[in-house]
Amino acid sequence: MNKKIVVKTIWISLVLLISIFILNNNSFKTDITQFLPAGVDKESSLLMKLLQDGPGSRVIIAEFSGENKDELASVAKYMSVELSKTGKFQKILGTEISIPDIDDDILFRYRFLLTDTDFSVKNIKSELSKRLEELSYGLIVDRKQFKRDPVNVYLSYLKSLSSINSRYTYKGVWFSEDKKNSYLLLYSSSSSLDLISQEKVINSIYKSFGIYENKNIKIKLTGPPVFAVYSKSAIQKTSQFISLISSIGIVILIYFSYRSFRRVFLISIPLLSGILSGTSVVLLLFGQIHAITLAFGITILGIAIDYPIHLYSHGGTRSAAKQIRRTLALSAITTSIGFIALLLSGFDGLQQMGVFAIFGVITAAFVTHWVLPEFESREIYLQALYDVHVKNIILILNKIKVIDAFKVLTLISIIFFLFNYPNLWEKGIKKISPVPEQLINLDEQIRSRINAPEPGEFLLISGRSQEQVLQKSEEIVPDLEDLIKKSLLKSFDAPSLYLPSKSRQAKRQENLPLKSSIEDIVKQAQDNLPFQNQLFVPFITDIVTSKKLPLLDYNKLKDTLLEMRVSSLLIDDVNEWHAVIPLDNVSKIADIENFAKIHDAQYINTANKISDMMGIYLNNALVSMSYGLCFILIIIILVFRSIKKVTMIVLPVISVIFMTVGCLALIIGNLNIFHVISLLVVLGISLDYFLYVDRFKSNASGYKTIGSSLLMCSMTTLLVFFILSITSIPVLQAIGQTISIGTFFSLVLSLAYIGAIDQNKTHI
Amino acid sequence: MSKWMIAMLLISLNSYILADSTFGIKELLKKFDGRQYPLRSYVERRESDFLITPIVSEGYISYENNELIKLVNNPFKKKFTVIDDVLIITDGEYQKTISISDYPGLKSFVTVFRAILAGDYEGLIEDFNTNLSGNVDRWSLELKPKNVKLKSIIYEIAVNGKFDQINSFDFYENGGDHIKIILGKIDNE
Repeated sequence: MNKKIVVKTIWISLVLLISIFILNNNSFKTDITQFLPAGVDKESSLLMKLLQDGPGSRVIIAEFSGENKDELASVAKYMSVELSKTGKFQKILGTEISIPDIDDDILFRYRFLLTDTDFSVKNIKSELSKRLEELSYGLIVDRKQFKRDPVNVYLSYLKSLSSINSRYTYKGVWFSEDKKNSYLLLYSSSSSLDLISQEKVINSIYKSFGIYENKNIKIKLTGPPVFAVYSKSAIQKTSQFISLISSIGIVILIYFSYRSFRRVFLISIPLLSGILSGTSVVLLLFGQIHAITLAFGITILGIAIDYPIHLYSHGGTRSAAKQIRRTLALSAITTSIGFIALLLSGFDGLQQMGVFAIFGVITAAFVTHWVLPEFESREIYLQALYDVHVKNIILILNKIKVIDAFKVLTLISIIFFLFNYPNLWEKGIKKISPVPEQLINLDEQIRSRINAPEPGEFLLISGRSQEQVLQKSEEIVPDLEDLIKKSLLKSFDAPSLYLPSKSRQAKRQENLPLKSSIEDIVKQAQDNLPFQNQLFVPFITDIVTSKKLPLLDYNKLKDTLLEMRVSSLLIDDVNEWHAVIPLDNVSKIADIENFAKIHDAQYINTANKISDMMGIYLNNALVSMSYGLCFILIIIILVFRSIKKVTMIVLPVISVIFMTVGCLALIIGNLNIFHVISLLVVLGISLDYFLYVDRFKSNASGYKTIGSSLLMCSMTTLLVFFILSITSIPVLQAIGQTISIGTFFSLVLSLAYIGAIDQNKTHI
Repeated sequence: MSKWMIAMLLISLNSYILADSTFGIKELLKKFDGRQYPLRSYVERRESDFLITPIVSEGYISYENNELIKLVNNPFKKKFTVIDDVLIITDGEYQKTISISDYPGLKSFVTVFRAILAGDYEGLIEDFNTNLSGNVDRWSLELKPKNVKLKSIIYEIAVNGKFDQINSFDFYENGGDHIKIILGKIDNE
């Protein structure tokens, strides 16, 4: 059988098989956990867990603004009712608190164990007198509760659960102090990392608001789910726009370069094969593929379009493939080694992207070499126009002595790099966050209006068991109250304020009066008060029952008002428990750090901790990159076995990398982790270019062939990454800026080298 | 009786019948629309099966500039001020602020009082089913809560009055309690 038919048949079969496999394993993920760092130590892992899926991460604040406060109250009430019907919310706060029926409420049953109660005759009498007054004011809400809890133990306890320190209400709805805004606090039932569900949650809010849209009332939403959904949508829209524009651009460029739509299709074959292969390997190894891996992986894999361009620059036939075989293989292998750094990044999503890119690049090179030539029977070249352009560009580059300029600038970049190394990196996450400053400012404004600051500092108490951390939390609370008195702290929260340790519950249980004793106390307290004699028998019965209750723990709090509150402060972390004690307005950090040390706790400042983590990730990325470089160097040495040759290939690559870093530092100031990761792509591109320059030097390819090929390759790369660099999404910007600058430097230097080599050849 | 007098009597009767036939809740509320309600004495009597003897309190009540003030003189001295959704209880120098939304019984009193005096028909029918009986010089307004939460506490509220004066409120609670507030004459002192 004809070799061409065999190769094409094998390729088509493989493509079909892989496509079927991908379609049958359609496990595309959209939650963003895999693209968030897992943490570099115990505290940071816990912090990331809290930030990513802690209860605070599910809160959406809805602010309604307008001139008519009655309308603002009614919109909040209407929305609260409508949204609670959707089943998409765990809890909605902001309108009248619905206190659960006391018969079903575990907190009511456990009220005497959850809080201290004074059972003296004096206190009970005083409380009964207050109830009598309240009865006359119309302040008694629940008759059943009145008889079972005339001391108001339960109501006082519920008040302590209020999450917002001071709030203004009108018609039972939370308002800002100036009554121009009403609020709802919506706790989504979905994980904050499940962006598709969160998007549905947000859409349901806007849908419910629909009928108020034309009534001069405006709605504004904020909170972590809003940020996450906004980011997803912004990235998605930008990616789609970039994909569309760059695909059209590349198709036009390739069409005008070869004047053939068939060629456009053939050039895309290695890239499409690479995408299929990368996807299937990721699915095999990870069991699923993230949408971001696919979107950015394809962008990164875009560099593989250079392979068929190189092939067609050499004629496009089997003999052309044989000519560039070694260079192509070396380029693909070294580029793949560069991507190994992604495997060591510490981000699951980036590891997926690394696997995707490595297998994609190798497949693209393989298909370029084995499959593509089988579609061509005659040689095909780029339009002659390229030859003219290449010649002119090289002439200019030689004239202005670009190589010398690069030598000087590289030296300056290296010196700059060495002197500024520690300050060169951006460790905060604000600048890489896709959330626009406008939304962050709105969040800050809304939170200040309802007095709900974002907790940024906390103490972390760890222990072997839930009981141990609750006991530690109980011990630390009185000392924290002292700190408030000393103005070192404004306020704090602690899990033990809501869920006492079992030992404390047992103590309270022990101190509850016996039946005969409480009967006597109530009788004496009722003296001279007009209450019916047997009115408080249910109160006495409850006290007697409480003496026998099994002690309460976190597991029994499910579906109670407490669950949401305690779950953000008490964390079960495999073999360890942690109590989180949020601190508000710490005035002297050093004092709090000392306080934490004394109490066997850790003081954590979220912003600083994240900054430290990002620093460590950056260092890891740089170290991985250095290992990658060394490995690439070893491979090139092994292949070429000539120090001179290796130097000729590696030195310009290093020059491009340092020049790119220097240029980025000059333009944007600090480099973030995405700039560093993008430098890997620059490494791959420049290596590819200088390997082809070496072919020219070795007379394996001609001046025009290599020059035109590099010009064409760089144009496709620049087209994609320049568009990326002008988007408003910081991560995409970082990738676009780095690769555009790196590709430009690679092109200029490689063409300058070709010119210099050509001059030497001519002189000889 | 002269023909002239008979004619006059018929005309008056006719105009009274005509006027009465147009007397509805909207017309009643129009009489109050936005007016101030100066200080009036009141006597409140609460009968409850919690109590051996009813609680009787007395003092003064007023509604001006959207502020509802109740000054209790007996059996204890206290001042209750309702502004918007907030109840301020003043006991000598001590002040306590609470949201009336958390207390449906109190809220229903404030809502009804405020809605009638403000002539707020929409506000009243938002929370209650209404039934007006009698005529201009002696009317009775029955209000039954629509809201489930309020319905679980208040069975019915009856407001009695004549012309543009409220004479009394009767609150019938589901638990069996009955509160009667009788308002005295306007006291400008």
